[in-house]
Amino acid sequence: MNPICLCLTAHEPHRLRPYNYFDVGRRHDYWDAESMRRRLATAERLVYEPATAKLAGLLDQHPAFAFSLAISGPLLDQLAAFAPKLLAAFRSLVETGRAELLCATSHHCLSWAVSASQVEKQLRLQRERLRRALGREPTIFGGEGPRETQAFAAIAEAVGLTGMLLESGPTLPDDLSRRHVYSASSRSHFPTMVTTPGLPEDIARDGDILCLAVDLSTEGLRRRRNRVTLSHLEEWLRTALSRGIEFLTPSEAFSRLPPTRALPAKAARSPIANELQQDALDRLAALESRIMAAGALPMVEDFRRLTGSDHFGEMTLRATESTAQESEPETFDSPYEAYMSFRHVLSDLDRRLSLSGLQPALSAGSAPA
Amino acid sequence: MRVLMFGWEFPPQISGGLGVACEGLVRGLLQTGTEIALVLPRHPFRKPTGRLRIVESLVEPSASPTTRPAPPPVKIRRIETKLKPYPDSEVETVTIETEVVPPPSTEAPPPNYGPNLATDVLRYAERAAAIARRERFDVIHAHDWMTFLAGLEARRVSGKPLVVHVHATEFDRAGIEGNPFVRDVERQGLAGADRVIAVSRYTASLLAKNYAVPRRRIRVVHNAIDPGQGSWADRVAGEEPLVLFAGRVTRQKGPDYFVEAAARVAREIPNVRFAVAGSGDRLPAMRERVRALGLRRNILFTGFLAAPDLDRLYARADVYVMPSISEPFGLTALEALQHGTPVIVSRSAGVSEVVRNVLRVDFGNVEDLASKILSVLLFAPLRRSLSSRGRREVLRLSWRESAQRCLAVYRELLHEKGIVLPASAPRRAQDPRHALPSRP
Repeated sequence: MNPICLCLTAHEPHRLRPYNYFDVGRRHDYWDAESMRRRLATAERLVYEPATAKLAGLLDQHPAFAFSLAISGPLLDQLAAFAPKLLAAFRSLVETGRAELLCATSHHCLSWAVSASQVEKQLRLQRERLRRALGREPTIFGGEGPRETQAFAAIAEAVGLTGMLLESGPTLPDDLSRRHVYSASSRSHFPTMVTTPGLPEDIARDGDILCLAVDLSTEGLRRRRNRVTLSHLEEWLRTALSRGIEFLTPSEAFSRLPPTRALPAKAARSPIANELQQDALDRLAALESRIMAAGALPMVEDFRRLTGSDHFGEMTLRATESTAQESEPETFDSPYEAYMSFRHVLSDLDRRLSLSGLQPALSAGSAPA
Repeated sequence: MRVLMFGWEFPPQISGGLGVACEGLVRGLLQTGTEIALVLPRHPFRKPTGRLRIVESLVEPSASPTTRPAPPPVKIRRIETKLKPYPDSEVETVTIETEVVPPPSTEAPPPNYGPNLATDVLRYAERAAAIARRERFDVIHAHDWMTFLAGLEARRVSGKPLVVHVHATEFDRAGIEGNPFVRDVERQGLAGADRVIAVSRYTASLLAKNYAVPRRRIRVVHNAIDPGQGSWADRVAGEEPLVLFAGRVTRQKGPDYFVEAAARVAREIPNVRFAVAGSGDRLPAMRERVRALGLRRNILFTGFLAAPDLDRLYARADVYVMPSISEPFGLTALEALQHGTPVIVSRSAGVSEVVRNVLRVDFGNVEDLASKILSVLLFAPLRRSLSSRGRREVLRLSWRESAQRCLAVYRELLHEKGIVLPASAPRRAQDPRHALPSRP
């Protein structure tokens, strides 16, 4: 039977507060700390706390059990600020040596929104933050499929990472197999695996390996009504372990299974699907060089938080196509509200930049379009 | 299915959403093969045939000229009237706040919302019994309080089930200061009906809360709009931005919030224009506030506008604003969307239960309203998305669907009474004899 490479992901976004036209120039606190604290407390109680306890138990009982853990930058910030006990629980898992930390961009950024150098900076930053907060330095990238996999692999390699786990989803080309180890770079065989979301009923498969991703925040929270998810995860793992299936961390998998084929060079499909997202993205991207040149840390941090992919997800207009309540985005009443707040925040950031005296203001919405 | 329907307004004789909704529903029901005897106080404008017959209840045979021009614009005023609430109560004096048509100097007193409204309502109810004895029907359907007593009377003499349809309540129109007579009539109708149709979930919850109507008797049937009337084009570059308010200028519709928001918007975009299409008792106060805020150059008061002129305004406007305190549905939002005009509505408005491509505000939050108006005017991608997606969304609505939901309510009632109708006649929706003539 194939060995299994299990990746548990945990992410809570930086949440923008509703921010209106008249807030521009009046307040610069764009982030809804209270909402983040409240939501994290709920997630901790319903998912993270029981999940870390169950995982610790499994590691304790099954010496062969191992997995990887992708804790996002925004969640790491929030753990440090609001949930030190949970941070300690994650740290204990990592200290066993059988929960391998994965590295992603520090602000869960949408790579379409930023330059390659910004991606590189955010990777370095996240690696450093993880080392300080959890005591281990990650060596494998784990996150959303980047814009261009080969170019991205080159960045990851330059940063010093040694492999990638790419989350599969609508933004990755369909012709990728999730059962093989790929080489993402023709020069140095940068090993890459593509994860399958969820837990399959049928464990035995063809191929080299089965690489699975379980999103703790989604799996645990959004389906909490049936209350099966965490116990289902535990049961599934116990069954697999009892059948003698081998669990590998990504590093172990890459050291044992050499890449058998080249990763398709195609770029992933852009997650930007509508005019609101595109406009928000363009205007954000236009600020990057000026922000970095100004170098003021609070502005840089605000800018980086604004690169988070969740903000663009909130502007998905599919949610307006049906009247189903489930598709409602989380922070804002509608994608339009998310877009308006984002645009007004950009206006304020632009204004702060101008006041910092480095550049004249470029128009970010001061005249009728 | 045969329906005895009691209505009050019907195009071209309309003062608000009630007449438009009533016509839409009649149109939709005719398309499903339903036969309708529609009782109106007066309706000298046209006499449809086929499955729709219009019965004029308050017209004396001799006093009904066959052609009369459409009524002049409505105004709001308070009138005092002596009336005898139904059926055996004492005569009392009450103040009725309602829409009345100002008597034109050269014409006879106008129809339907005259100074004798309460008397008309009672006469209309008295005549319902005779009409109900004469007509053949399976179910009675009555629209808003003016017709509730007639509906009850028809139910009493025929034993047929009564559906009352709530387009607005006195609480929506006047808050807690509403007219006690009107509220009493509403209570009687809601208590005596076999089913209550509310135009939104919002209205359904108000009925449960303010009139203690049991939830199990309420069904929600949203209003709709029929396709094909909107003309649509993106704004011409260089034109001054235009923000539109259309509707009765009464406290319910939130004109005060509109003016306060307008002042904030005008400070940011000095050449912005606002149009107020409508008339009502808050108009003088509104004008006064406009003067005080120095907005006279920015705001145009058009008075009440009928379809072709209003359509032009919808098409020209960059954003349509409906900041109502209480809005059971808000049909004008659908009309604006049909013209591709972005819409800002109060969060609780019934219309926002059927369309999602609109911006919502809490009605008293003037800063948020102003910010959203500014956002639509300043952010072209936002305006384009709201416009194209909003228009696409209303194109999916139809009165036929609302009619189907009403039919389901009728069937439910007949089923409860153990009445089985013969298999319905083949639908002849395309038969021009069964279609309403298009609006003048």
